[in-house]
Amino acid sequence: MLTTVLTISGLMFALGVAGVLTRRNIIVIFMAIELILNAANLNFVAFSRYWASIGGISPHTGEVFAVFVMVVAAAEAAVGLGLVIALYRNRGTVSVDDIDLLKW
Amino acid sequence: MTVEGTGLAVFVSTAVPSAVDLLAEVRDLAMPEIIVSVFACLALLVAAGAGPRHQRLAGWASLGGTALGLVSVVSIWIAQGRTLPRIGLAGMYVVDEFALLFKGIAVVAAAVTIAISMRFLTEERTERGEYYALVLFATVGMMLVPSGADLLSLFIALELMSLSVYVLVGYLRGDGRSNEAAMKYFLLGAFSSGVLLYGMSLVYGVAGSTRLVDLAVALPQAISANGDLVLLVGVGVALLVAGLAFKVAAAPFHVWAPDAYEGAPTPVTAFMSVGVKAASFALLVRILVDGLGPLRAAVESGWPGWDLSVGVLAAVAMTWGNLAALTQKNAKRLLAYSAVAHSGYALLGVVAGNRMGYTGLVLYIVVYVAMNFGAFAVLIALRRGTIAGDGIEDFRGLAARAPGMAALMTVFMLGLGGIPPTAGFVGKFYLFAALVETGDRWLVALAALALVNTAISAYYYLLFVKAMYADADEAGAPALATSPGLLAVVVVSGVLTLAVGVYPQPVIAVSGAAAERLEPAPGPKPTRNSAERAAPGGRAR
Amino acid sequence: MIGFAWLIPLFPLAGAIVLGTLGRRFGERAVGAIAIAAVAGSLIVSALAVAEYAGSQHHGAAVAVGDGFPASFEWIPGGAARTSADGIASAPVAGGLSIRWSYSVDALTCVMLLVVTGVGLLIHVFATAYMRGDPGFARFFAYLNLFMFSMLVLVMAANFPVLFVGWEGVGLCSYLLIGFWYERDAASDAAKKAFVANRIGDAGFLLGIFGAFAVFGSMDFETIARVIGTGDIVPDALGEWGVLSVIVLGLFVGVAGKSAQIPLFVWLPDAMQGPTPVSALIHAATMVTAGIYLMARVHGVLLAAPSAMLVIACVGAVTALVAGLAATAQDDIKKVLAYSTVSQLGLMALACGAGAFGTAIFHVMTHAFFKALLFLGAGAIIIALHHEQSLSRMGGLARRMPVVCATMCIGALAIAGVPPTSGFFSKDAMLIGVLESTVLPLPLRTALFFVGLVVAALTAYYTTRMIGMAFFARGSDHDEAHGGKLSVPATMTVPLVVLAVLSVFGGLFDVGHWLAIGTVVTHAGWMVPALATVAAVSGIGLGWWLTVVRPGAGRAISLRLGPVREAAAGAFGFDAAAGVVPVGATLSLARAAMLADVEVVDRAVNSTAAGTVSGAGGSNWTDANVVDGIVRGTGEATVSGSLVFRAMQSGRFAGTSLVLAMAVAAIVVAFGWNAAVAAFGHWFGGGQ
Repeated sequence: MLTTVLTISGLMFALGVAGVLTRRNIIVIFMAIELILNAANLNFVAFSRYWASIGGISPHTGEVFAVFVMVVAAAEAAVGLGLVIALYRNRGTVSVDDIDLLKW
Repeated sequence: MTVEGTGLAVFVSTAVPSAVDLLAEVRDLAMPEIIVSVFACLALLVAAGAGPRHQRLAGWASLGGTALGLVSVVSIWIAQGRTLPRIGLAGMYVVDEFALLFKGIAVVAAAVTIAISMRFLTEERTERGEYYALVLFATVGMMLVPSGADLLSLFIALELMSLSVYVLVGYLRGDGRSNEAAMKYFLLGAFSSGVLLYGMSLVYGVAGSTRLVDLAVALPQAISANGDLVLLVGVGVALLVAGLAFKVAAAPFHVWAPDAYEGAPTPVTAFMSVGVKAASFALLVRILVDGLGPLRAAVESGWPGWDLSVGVLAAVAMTWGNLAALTQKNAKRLLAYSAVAHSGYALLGVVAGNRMGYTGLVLYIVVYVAMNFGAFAVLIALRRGTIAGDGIEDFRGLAARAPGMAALMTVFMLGLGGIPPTAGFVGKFYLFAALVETGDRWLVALAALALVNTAISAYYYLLFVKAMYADADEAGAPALATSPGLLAVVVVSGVLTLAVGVYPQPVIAVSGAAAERLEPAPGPKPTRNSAERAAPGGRAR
Repeated sequence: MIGFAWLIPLFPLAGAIVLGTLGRRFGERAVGAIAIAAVAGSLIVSALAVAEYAGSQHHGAAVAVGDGFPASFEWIPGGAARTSADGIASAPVAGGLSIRWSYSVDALTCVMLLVVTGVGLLIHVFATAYMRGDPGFARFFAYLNLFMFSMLVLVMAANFPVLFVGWEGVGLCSYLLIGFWYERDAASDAAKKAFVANRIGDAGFLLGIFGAFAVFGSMDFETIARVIGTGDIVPDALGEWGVLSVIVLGLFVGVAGKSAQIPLFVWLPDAMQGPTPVSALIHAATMVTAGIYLMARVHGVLLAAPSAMLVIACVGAVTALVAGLAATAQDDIKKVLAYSTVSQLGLMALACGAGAFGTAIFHVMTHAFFKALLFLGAGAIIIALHHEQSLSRMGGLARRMPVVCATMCIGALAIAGVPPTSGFFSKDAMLIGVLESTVLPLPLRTALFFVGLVVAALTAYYTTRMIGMAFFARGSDHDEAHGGKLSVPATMTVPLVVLAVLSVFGGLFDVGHWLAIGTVVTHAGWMVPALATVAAVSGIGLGWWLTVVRPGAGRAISLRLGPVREAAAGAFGFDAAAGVVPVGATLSLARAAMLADVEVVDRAVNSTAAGTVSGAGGSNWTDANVVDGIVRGTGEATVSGSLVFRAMQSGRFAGTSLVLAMAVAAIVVAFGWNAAVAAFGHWFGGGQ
């Protein structure tokens, strides 16, 4: 069971990383980042269940962690979307290809 | 669902005494953070209530908050010094000298940022009170990070800081460069937070706890009990190291820094390069030294150790940062690459892993605060009206226009370049000597590389000196945009840079106290050690 | 007064601070008076301290200066310093680093103190006249006083870090003073060149310092000397390249930067863009000899690394020869003197490499006298001729500037090594030191001795050529146009006369003998003095013949030597190469780094990451984006190839994030994701 969940979470993490790398739309990149966070959440919950089942030193920490991560992710979304809107107003685009004022 | 439900109930009943007790505990442990948070909310209220002409009131309120916060931090150190370290909030929060010093750095960074921002925001015609509130919220995050004794509290503190800084970077809403910098910083920052978090989840999975003290015990046990776990812990630690390297902008994880530094409003750049960097190093030290310290070195059972990868990171960061800085024309971008290099230097303290290395790391961050803030303050004074003032050519002839400012800028540049008798030299000296002191052949080689890097870096720092003293004045260049706060920052930073260079003892004593509870690495490792070091009488411990 | 020797550097520091902050409010007289008074204060305290040292029983031992703040205090604290050593094998104990800010006075310091403050005072006096009316008058003297402070710290330092403070300080002042007239592009460029060369040197120097710390467990000169004295450190044999040799070579790289040895000497001729008193003080008499001083200071370490000493001797000899030849082909009077300085420094390095450290310091002293004299004389000419520096446009100045002519002739005789001037004694001592070296193997030391003789002859030749062209050759336009006497103020002539007297009689103070470090040379036998005198006289004769008696012949020969002469004028390509090699290499490295950031990494990373992603995440294959890529990249043969293509097309953000993601992905793959999951399943298998 745990192995299955971990594999799924690994795939989600890989998908998220791949999305950040290959996507050009800021919103989609942002969704990919959320995928990474949720992959971590899945791990936390799965591990928490495992440790609770065998009686670890601090069971359920993982579940609490996951809740906090959700809160943080919500805050992150608020800030991120705000930035996207500001950018869109100035530049009329949400494609990372087009934001290139800052040159290497 | 029932399983989780009952479990949570058990957790609540055993670990959390009562709400009143909890609040009292928070009050006892986190008074400085409470003060700064209250003033941050106050600044928000002022920003909402005051008219557009009186937004600076929020700035003054914030400045008062940082002053009180600093008083609180210092009084805890002095009054409760003997009871440290104090651990509370279910083992998630620790107050020790290290945490207090970094809290002090955070509030000082906030105060300086506010002081150098006021005139700048007027020049930019965007003085709004929430700017100061955001600075304070970020500061609360920076103050919480060094107190984190648990991956959860560390993560939340880090995000509190980061989210506030993302907004600050994009504060100039109408400026495309500011927008873009914020967007890039945000995307890469969130991505790296995700990487860090995933690493945390894996490490938690093996250790069964997110408390740093538990990690330090459980992870080595798990590895030695079951060799198959090496791979899983390895992935987790690798992701943690990568995420931390991003946060401290160590090359090759520095890619966000030049863009974010260049595009952000200059006071925010200063804030990032000092406050965020110091907090990130506190995070790195907490996780790597407190949590993963026992995993530092390679062991027989196949654990690869993180010392090698952090050493490589340090080497790459120094070299890459310095070389890339050489060709920069934009001062903020140049200082961004210089900050990358300085991250590399500071990492040397972690790599050395001895008492002197940790002291050197803390010392280096302290002196870096003074030097870098001074340099950025001068840079901000050049921003005037329609003049962006962030190119190296804007420094031309500054010696003739503003001799005092130019002299102090020279001091900062000498300090950043590590040239004696400035504080920068003392900091570098300590770090390099710490590496040499380990006697490890590879670490001595790393020190040699760092020396070569110091030589390279002095070149681009002296470009500023050359521009100020040896290039003709810009015709019709306007007077500097100074303010009492900014002048105070420049002068105090300059005096500190010189004074610490000439008489560093007090600062070293404080840094040593802060680093005292960090567990040094055990003696030289036989595998990576030169034969003669193992000779009898070689290393007394 | 030794107890109060810590005051010596403080006088000029105070002067620099006062002049730097308030100087612009003072008149020129007040500024000059403050600057001169500061140096005079140092000279008086130095003289008293030296008198006490010389009269006491301390001979040969170093005396720590005072105890307690401000004479000595713990500068960079650590634990207790390790004082005993058990060979190279041992490492310092934890926290073994403690650096005190401390000075010490020994015979070597005494000599340097007197030279620096004495010559410094004369040059300060001269400079008040030379810089008259310059808008940066106060700034100039602030720098000059700051330089004096740094130089005095350098010679009084009791350990490496304090010496390094002075070392960097003099470098900084030199940099600021070379670029003093920054409106000239050449001055600005020269300052940059000096800076780069010195930074290369500093890197080597620091390497040596930390190496010494690693081996000796201390950075204190006295402790290092004591550790060597115990015999616990096994010295390298000749031809052996141990840690000690590496340390010495590192230090010598620093010496080469500061004291203008091949290949880092190229900054010194360009440094002549600075005002002439600066050239006299910093680039002839004091700062450039810091490297020689350093080698004498740590001579114990050098003697334990004979292989490195051999390198030092050879580099010194080649430097002396190349720069001596280059000096014969210069037209700018200051460049003649600059190459001459490089050449003389080469001789001093040669003497150090041969182990005759005392004679090298002896020559440092006499050279300070006559080279400062020649530079100041040249400065007087330059001012009198309204900033004319070209020798071929001078001539016939002997009648018009009799005092300058007489004193410069004395200086020329001294540098040429004509007996009984000071230069004769010191050069003679160095040549004997090389010939009787106990460090160098036999055929080599004879060869190097003859190189030294050739350099001596060259020195005599180019100095005479310079004097002849400036003072005695048939006059050019200046002579005819305004033939009257040129007025030279007393503030210029007095220092010239004092230096001339010192140049003649300075040889009586045989400090080499007094110092007694390394090979102690006794003036016995007649052969070496005779050979040296013959070399000097023949050089002078040739120079006089070709410039004064038969200038036509001189010009004809010089024409016939065309390309050779050109090569010599450019210091045989070193000058040009220097512009390209260190500066160019650093900058092209930097450009490469930038390029790496933009192109190489972007691409490499894109392809690596794309490859990794396509390999690691099977899920990625279903990504519509990839399908898109396949469709568009019809020319591409493989899926990963199309990914590369797309990644390269992608914007800056993708490139940026890829750099970041590459490492993560690579690490994950490297640690074996699948294996990790499998292992975890195996571990938890029973539980679930």
